[in-house]
Formats: sequence, C-alpha cells, structure tokens
Amino acid sequence: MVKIKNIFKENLFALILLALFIIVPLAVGKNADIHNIIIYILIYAMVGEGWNLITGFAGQTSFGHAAYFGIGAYAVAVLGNKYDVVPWAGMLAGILIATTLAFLINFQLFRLKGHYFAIATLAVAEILRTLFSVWTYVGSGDGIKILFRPDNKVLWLAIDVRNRLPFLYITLALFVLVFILCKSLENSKMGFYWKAIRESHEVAESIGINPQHYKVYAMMLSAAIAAVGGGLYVQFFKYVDSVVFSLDVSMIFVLVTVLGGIGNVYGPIIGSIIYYTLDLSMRRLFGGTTSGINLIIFGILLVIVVVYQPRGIMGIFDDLVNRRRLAKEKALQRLDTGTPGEGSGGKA
Amino acid sequence: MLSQVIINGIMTGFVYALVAVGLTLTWGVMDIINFAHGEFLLWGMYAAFGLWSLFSLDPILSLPVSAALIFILGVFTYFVVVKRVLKASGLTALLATFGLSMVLKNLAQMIFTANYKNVTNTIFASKTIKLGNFFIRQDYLAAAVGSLTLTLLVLTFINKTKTGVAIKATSMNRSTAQLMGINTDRIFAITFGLSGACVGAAAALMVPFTPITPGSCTLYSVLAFVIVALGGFGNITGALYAGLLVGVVEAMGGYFLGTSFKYAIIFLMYLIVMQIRPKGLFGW
Amino acid sequence: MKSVIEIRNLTMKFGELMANEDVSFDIENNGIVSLIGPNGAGKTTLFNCVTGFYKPFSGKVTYWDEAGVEQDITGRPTHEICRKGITRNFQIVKTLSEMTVEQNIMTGAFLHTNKTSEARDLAEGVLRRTGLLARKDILGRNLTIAERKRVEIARALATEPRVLMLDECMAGLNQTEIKDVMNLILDLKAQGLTLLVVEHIMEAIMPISDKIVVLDSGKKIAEGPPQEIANNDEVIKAYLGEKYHAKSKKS
Repeated sequence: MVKIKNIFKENLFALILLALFIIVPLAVGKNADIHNIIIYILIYAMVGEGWNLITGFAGQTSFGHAAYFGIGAYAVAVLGNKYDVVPWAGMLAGILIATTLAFLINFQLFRLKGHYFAIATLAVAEILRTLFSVWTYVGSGDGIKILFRPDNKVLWLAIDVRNRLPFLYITLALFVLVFILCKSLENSKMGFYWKAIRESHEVAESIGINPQHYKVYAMMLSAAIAAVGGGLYVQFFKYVDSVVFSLDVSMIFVLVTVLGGIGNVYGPIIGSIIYYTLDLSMRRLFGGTTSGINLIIFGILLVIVVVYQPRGIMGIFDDLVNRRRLAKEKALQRLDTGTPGEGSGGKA
Repeated sequence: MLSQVIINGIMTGFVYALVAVGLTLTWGVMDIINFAHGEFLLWGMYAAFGLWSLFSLDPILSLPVSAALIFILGVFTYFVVVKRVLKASGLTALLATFGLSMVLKNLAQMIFTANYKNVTNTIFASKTIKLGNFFIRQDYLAAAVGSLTLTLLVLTFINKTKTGVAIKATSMNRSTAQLMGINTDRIFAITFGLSGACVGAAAALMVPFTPITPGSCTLYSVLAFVIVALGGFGNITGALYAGLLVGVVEAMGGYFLGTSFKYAIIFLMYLIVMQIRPKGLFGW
Repeated sequence: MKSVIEIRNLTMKFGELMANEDVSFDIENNGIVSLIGPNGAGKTTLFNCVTGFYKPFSGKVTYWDEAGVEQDITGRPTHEICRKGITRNFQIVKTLSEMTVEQNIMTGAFLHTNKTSEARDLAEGVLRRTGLLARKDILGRNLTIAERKRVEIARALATEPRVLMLDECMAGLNQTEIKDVMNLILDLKAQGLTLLVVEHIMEAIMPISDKIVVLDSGKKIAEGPPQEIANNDEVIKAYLGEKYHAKSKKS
C-alpha cells in the first residue's frame, strides 16, 4: 500500500497531465479542432521523446529525425495503399525498418563528433527526401494516400474523420507507453551510461562503457519511437509526401523538446502543449492565414528560453521547486544545529 | 559539354565558398554555428532586390550597401543573442540562432510574401563571353570573380590587419587574448558582422541569376553547413576549396543524374568523405 | 611478487616528438608502483598508453587477469581494458557535473550489474569506503576540487578494478587533504588492489610506494624502492638540474 502511495506521489505531475489528457477531449464535446490539436500535441511530443533520448540524454545532436518519422509514415501508407495491410501492422513494419536503418547508418556515423555528426544526420534525411520525391513506387512527387476503408472501423480507426476520439485515445495510450519507456530508461543502466557519454566520452570509456554501442542503442530506440509517431501522423492525415523528410519537420521535434526542456522526460510534452496551444490561439486570434506570425513568436520564445534557461520550461519549473526545497532544508538545518549558513560541509 | 558544366560548377562554387567563409569564421573564432546563416543570405538578397526596385540600383553597385546592412544584422545578432549563450554548450547557441532563423525567415515571408522575386536587366544579364569553345555567362563570371576577390580580401584582412590578427589570436585562445588586452567582446561582434558582410556581398552577387524566396534559405544554410564541415570547421581556405568541390559536384550531379538529384549527391558525398576524414577534408 | 602488468619497450611518438622511449617495467600484484618525473617526462602519456587512450607506437603491455591468464592489452580500447579490471582517473578532473556524487559512482557500479537498485547498493559501499556518504546528493559541479578528485577515485573503484591507476590525484590539494588521499591509497592496497600512481608530490609518494619508476624526457632513468631512488644520482640530476647536482657533489 505504501509503495503504491509512493508511486502516486512521485509521479503526481505525470498523473495530473494524464488526467487532463483523458478529461479535456471529453469535456470539449464534439470539437474537432481541439481534438485535432490534442492529437498533434501527442504525436509531436512522442517523437520529441524519441529525439530526447539521443540528443537530450546521450548528447548526440540529431537534425535528421524526420528520416525515421518519414519512414514510419511511408511504411503505413505504402503497405496500406498497395497491400491492404492494416495501419497497426504497417506501424510495426515502420518500426523495424527505421530501427534497422538507424543501426546501419549510425554505426558508421557515430565515428563523427559534434556538429560533424549533426550535419550528417541532416544529410541522411535530405537524401531520403530526394529518393522519395523521385521514386514512383511510393508516388514520387505526388505522395501517397491511405484509402478510405468504411468496412473495418476497429482496425482503421483513424479513417473516421467525424469522430476522432477513439484515435485520440489510442494515440494517448501509445504516448503513455513511450513516456513510461523513456522514464524507466532514464533511471536504468542505459540512461546512466547515456548521460555519462553526454558529459564525457573519456570518463565513459574509463569506466568500461563502449560509447559507440550505447549511442547506437539510443539512436535505434529513438528511431523506433519516431517511426511510431510517423505511423500515427499518416493515419491522421491519410496522406504523406517527401516533404515529411525535410529539415523543417526535423526541427519541430527539436523545437518542442527544447522549449519544454531538453534532457527531461516531461520536456517534449510540455513543449508540445505550449507550441500547439499557442498555435491554435493565434489562429483563432488572427484567422487562418497567419502561419507567419505564430512562427515568429515561437522563434522569439525559443531564443528567450534558450538564452535564459537552457533547460527549458521544465528547467524554470525545477528551479522554482528546488529553491523552495532548499530554503526549507536550510531552515530545518538551522533549527537542528543552531548555526546558520553552509551546513556541515561533511568530509571524512 | 562536360567541361562547360564543370566551368559553371566552379563559378557557383566560388559563391558558395564566400557564403561558407562567413559561416566558418564564427565557428573558428567563437565555436558557434549560426543556424540563421541562410536567412542572413536571404535578407541580403532582399536588400539588393529592394535597392534595385526602389532606386534602380544595380546589385553589383549596391553590393557595399547590402554587405553593410547584413554586417549590422550580424553585429546586432551577436549582442542580442549570441553573446548571451557564448558560455553554454554548442547546442545551445545553435538552437538560439535557430530561433532567430525562424523569426527572420517568417518576417521575410510576411513582408515580401512567398512569391519569387527576380532582379532583371542587370549590367551583366544575358551577356556571354566566348572563350574558345566555351560560353561563359557574364553574370556568373562577375559573381565568381567577385566572390573570389572578397574571399581573398577576408583572408588578407585576417592575416594582415591589426583587427584581423586580434581575431586570429582570439580564435586560438580566448582567455590569453583577453590577457593580452584584446577586447574579445568587440572582436566577437566584428567577427559576426564580418560573417554577415560575407553573405551580404554573396547575396548581391547572386541575385542577378537567383530568384528570391524565403523557402530557399534553409537549403542555403544546409549547403553552407556541409561546405564548412567538409572544409573543416573554422578553416577559411578549407571552406574555399570545399565550396568549389560542392559547386562542381552539384553541377556534375545535375548533368549526369538530373537536377532533382544534385543536392542528394552533395549530401552523399559529405557522408562518404566524412567516413574517410571525420574532421573534414582540411581539418585535423 | 608476481606481476599484474608488464610494460615492455613501450615507445610513443607524436609526430617527431618522442614522448616515451623504450620504457619497460613491471607492476607487481598488490603493490603500489609510483611513476615520477619532471614536467613533460611522459608520465601521463605512458599512463594513456597503458589504459588504451593512445595506441603505442611500439612495445607491449601484458596483463594477467584474476585467473592468471596472460593477455596482450597493447592498444586495446579503454572500455575493454576497464572490463578486464584496470581503471583510471584523470589528471584534469572530469566529474560528471550534471549528476550527483551518488549517480557518478553508480555509473561506475553499473559495470557489474544491470539493476539500478543493485548499482545503488554497490555505490553505497563505495561511498562509505571513500568517506563521501555525507555528500552523496550534491551535484558534481557543486563540489570542491578535493571532493571531485575523491569522486573520481570512487567512480573508478565502483567498477571493482584489480588495478587502479591514479594520475596526479593529489595535485592542488592541501596538506590534510593529501594525508587523506595517502590513507585512502594505503587502505585500497590493504583491500587487495594494485595501484599505479603518477605523482609530483614526493613527500606523499615516498612513504607509501613499494616501488618507484622515474621517467625523464620519455626514458626510464631509474627503478627501485623509495630509499634507493632518493639517493640515486640520475634522479637528483633530473629533478634539480645539472648545476645544482654539481654543487651538491662538491660540498
């Protein structure tokens, strides 16, 4: 009983968020606009969680996550369109292809460091973009559609445009899985090793970590998550073309994660909520054709966040909580020892 | 025909080199990659376009003005954004300038719309020089010669002038330079300005034959990143050679495989070269 | 005494610069071997060659594992060498600054377990052994230099090495702190570890070492027990210079 209570207490923030994501879609009734936004939030937050593994935890900047996102999307679309494969099986195929590709490419690429690596990830995505824009099998420049399937609503959930709720909850469930996965990874051997590699390759090696291997693991997991996001994305839009591989798409994952807090499992979801809520409210405010203004505001917001708190909104939040905790501890210590200031400074 | 393609590639390559020199400067001196570099180029092009459409100034004549404007944009960027993230990790600066790039790109789109803008009837437009069996477009040639001259000028500036040597000293060791009485803050601002001036000038040289649209600046940024990495971050001569290489590879790729592949070939080349030389062709 | 590590004819060049030239010596089991020499003598380079950070130009490093099996570890990757039981610290401290002391040590402890709870238990043992228990929740970047050096040793210990290699773990510490580290090193020896110590501070090294190896300009100029080294002409010359040496002879 105590244990359950502890789990509840430690994850209070996550549980509140989850409750909101369950209640809000019901509370707004048949408001397709808000349902769509929530689906967006979840999909991009999910891929953001994936990006966070490789860049936030393992410290290897990727500007090419659109590659794995796009593969996830194309896998569902191509298999569904050509072979009538249900989207969920398509997603599984997408995960497999993306993970394999991440392994094959990055095993080589991880010899590069820093910006050289970041540019290489971008190059991979751009090469895929070109390939998919000329490859007639996947529709070349016209892209590829998922066809309307009224006969099997369970397997083809996302097809029903008038009622997004089932799809929304499936997306939510998948996001929760990804979130739990990332959170447990953070506290596992893998997470510790990633952070060690992020801070110092040399230290990592000196305590028996093979950085190459652990970076590849991070990239493979990250790619798998991005592919799931891509699979959901294409079910939502029912269409995908080669633009999905572009740098602009890669940067959305970066943007939401950095805004919310890089290297923090809550970062992507918080960032995504802020990004799309602002997006929606600005579209309400200025009418439909304001794609410019909202991006300008995000740009400014990003600059401000990065300059003043590189750990994002969650960083600001953590600082506030810690400051209160520290103040409390200090007060307690003063009561205990009767001496103000530094504490015991304990050294044996 | 092939040699004609290579000549065109070399000429484009010189312009790429100038753009990349601007980017590699900021890396060399302060370890910062400016994600908004392509947006700087875009604004340089709109500056040249504006001067042309308002005052019928030929871009080649207004080059100092567009270079100066982007110089100012660079200095402004330094003080408002870059200065505050100098001590943070490399990714932080990159993301801050990415935010700036979003602002600059979308601001351009709001003001000038997404439609292509063209600068026409310039001095060298639609004239060619016949050189043996080759035809060389005068506007390309002017851009190439201009870019090469400016690249060499930047090199001379860095190596010969007092400010240039101070920039070099700062790039080698920031704190020692500070101890020697160099105002590193001023040096960083000048470097960022100089970086902007390079793209401002490149923009003026490019507009006679390049349609302007906000959508294309990401590509310019990405190409500049690739060239700078190929040349080895911070290496000016490396950027010059890598610019030429990319220009030629792009032209040949377009010729042999079709224009849709020309950039993919460059990226593929980058990935292959980096397997052999993980710190760029001219890096150590 | 049987050797755990045997270094034979090790040579390391950086371009034309000879950093180590034909260096050979043994590290005996459960001994404290100290590597001394003036600045630029090639101590850290040798250290890096043994731990796999550099691939030696020529020469051989042999290691005998717990079962007594002979293994050639010349130029093997650092992480592999660590898994065999040889761990090092860094002269320029590299504490993982975004992690707490406990997490720093847990990262080392994960070498022998996949479970976080087990790693935490292992780390607690190391925290006790190194006297860091009271500081376990402090972030790496908020530590003093002496604490950081201690965390580095603790992190290395958490990998449960047979051989611990310490690169200038006393530099920059005050007298009491040096005394603490000396005691720690002796404790570790008592617990069965073998140590290779690179150090500048003679007063600290002399009383605890079983053997001292002296490097000068990349070459080994002397090897032997501390008293012998203290009276060695070559060593005095290398440390105090030719002129001073001549003067001391006269008087």
